[in-house]
Amino acid sequence: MKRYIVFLKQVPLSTKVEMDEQTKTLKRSSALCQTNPDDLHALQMAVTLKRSTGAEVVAVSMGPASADAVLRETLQRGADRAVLLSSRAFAGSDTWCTSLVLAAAVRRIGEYDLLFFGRMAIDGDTAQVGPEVAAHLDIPQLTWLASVDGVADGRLRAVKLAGRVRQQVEVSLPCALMVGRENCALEAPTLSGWRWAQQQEVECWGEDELGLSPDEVGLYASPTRVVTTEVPQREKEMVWLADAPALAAVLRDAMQFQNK
Amino acid sequence: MSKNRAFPLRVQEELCVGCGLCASSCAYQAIEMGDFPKIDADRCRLCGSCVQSCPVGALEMDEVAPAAEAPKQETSGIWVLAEVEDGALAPVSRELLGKAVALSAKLRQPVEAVLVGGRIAALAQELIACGADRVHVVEAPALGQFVEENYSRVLADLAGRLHPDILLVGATQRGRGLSARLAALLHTGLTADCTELDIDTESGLLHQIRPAFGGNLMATIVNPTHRPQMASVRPGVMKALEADTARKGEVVRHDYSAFAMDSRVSVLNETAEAAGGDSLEGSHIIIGIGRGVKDKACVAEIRRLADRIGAAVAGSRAAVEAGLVDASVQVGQTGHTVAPDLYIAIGISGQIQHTAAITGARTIIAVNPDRTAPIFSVADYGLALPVEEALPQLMNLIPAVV
Repeated sequence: MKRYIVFLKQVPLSTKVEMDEQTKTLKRSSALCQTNPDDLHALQMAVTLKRSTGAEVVAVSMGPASADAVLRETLQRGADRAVLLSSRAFAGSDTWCTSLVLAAAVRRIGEYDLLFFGRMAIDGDTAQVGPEVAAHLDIPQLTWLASVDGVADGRLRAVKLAGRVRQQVEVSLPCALMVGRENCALEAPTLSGWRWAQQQEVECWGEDELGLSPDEVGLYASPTRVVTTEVPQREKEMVWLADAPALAAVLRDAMQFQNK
Repeated sequence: MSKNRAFPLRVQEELCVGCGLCASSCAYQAIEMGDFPKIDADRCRLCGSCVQSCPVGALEMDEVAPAAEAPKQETSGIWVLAEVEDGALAPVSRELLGKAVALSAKLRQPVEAVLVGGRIAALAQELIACGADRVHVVEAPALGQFVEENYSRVLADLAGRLHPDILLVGATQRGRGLSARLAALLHTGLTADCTELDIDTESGLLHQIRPAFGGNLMATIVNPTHRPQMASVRPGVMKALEADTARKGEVVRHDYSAFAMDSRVSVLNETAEAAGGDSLEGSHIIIGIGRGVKDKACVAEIRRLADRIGAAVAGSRAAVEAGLVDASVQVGQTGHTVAPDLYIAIGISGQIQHTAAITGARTIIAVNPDRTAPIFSVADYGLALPVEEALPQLMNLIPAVV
């Protein structure tokens, strides 16, 4: 049985956060959440590939109970099975602990051929969790994917970007793919998919099901810790220029400064 | 789940004044405000924003037991992973060395560069000139192609034997995937995209400062017990030192010729990728184009202006989406971070995702007809004129050769 596992994260609808100028605190943003955009493309790639290989697609999300919505959407978009990883013990997990939990979920799911991750989450921008899961499981990783050119005979061919070079690579399965928005176009979800999704069970696993101790995950097991968060202060005062000649003068000054 | 330890975040109701700042500071909507804040433990991610926001100290989050705070073993050295492109040192490596030298002055530990590749040993002297006290060279034909699985194994082995205290990596296409895999192998923390690094003089810990929530907050992150303390920094954020060829340093060669490379990954061929936006990071003057630039004719005019003043042309996400500039030169949170001497924002409104990526510029000039546009809050000079009005005047005022 071929199996693909796709990881998706629930993120805020927008990372645009409004600031209360008086108190210098964040205004409560809209409660609406969405699936991280890159992750939907990762799911699409898995679902598209499944049509030719007949693999089972398992969608996995780690988060609060509300992440159930993310998993319903994956079922609607073609996933066969959905697993929610949710526990208070997971709160405060950094990327290292998150990837430990996801790797434990992969082991519980069992045999697999491919892991699909979105390249980056819009609320964290770290691009770390996929490669860290690949390292925990000791499988190859394909970051900065340009294209997947075929999967056959236990091997995958793909093109990836590595700075100034474009590499055509062949990797033995299982391996992990980090998918970006440009890698594939999303198909529209269907009504029949929605109906089917409503009837499915979303499995929910905590640390017990994953064979993890609460001491291994969450805030206290995480290597990194946030010590302070502050609103960046602006120091400089801007000068309004009256007209284009004033701007040209500033430009000339700046360039003379630079030529020295 | 009652067997879990007590929830580490508590409200001391006797101190609370019911102001509600904590609820509004919570990005996860985990606090509901009644007479006192009520924390929804299932939504809370323990980020600590509410603790910071409370003016009377009524929110309390458990600290980690002090015994666990000491690193597990003696470590020494501020390592910089050198990145090589087209046989030359990537600018980000020189920039990281510049920062490592500053950290070394506070931490009193040597700056050590790590150079891995097929034929790269000749670059060791340049690393010393840019600030390295010691260069670890791992040269092996099998490392001629950049394969994350191989590089991460070699680096994990090297770091596992030499115990660096800090390891800095460029947040480049190569550096990101490599550093994440390496951090997992070393069981340590990694903070991506730091915009500032500093040593806390009391604890000696590396303060890793990075934007959070789209740049609206700056978070300071530490890695108290795991080593090395790993951080990645985007190109263009730190300043390199002037190369000093008289600087002395030590070159240590490590033999990995017998190291087993990962047989599961093979690179069938490599082709050169167009440099694209890479030139942005090295540019002294950059003109950024935004959606306020109406059409391609206007873009062409801006390019002529750019040629006259020796500037590179970049764009905001909106400009890329409108097809005005190529995605490879997008400046912003999902594109490049730049730190030129002069950044000229033309028709850019200044969403935080864009401005967070240009604040390293020494001088910012903004042209936008809307005086309330957020771009003016980060600019040094502002001109409130429509682009199509300002541009022809500028072309007349800036002669073909300056």
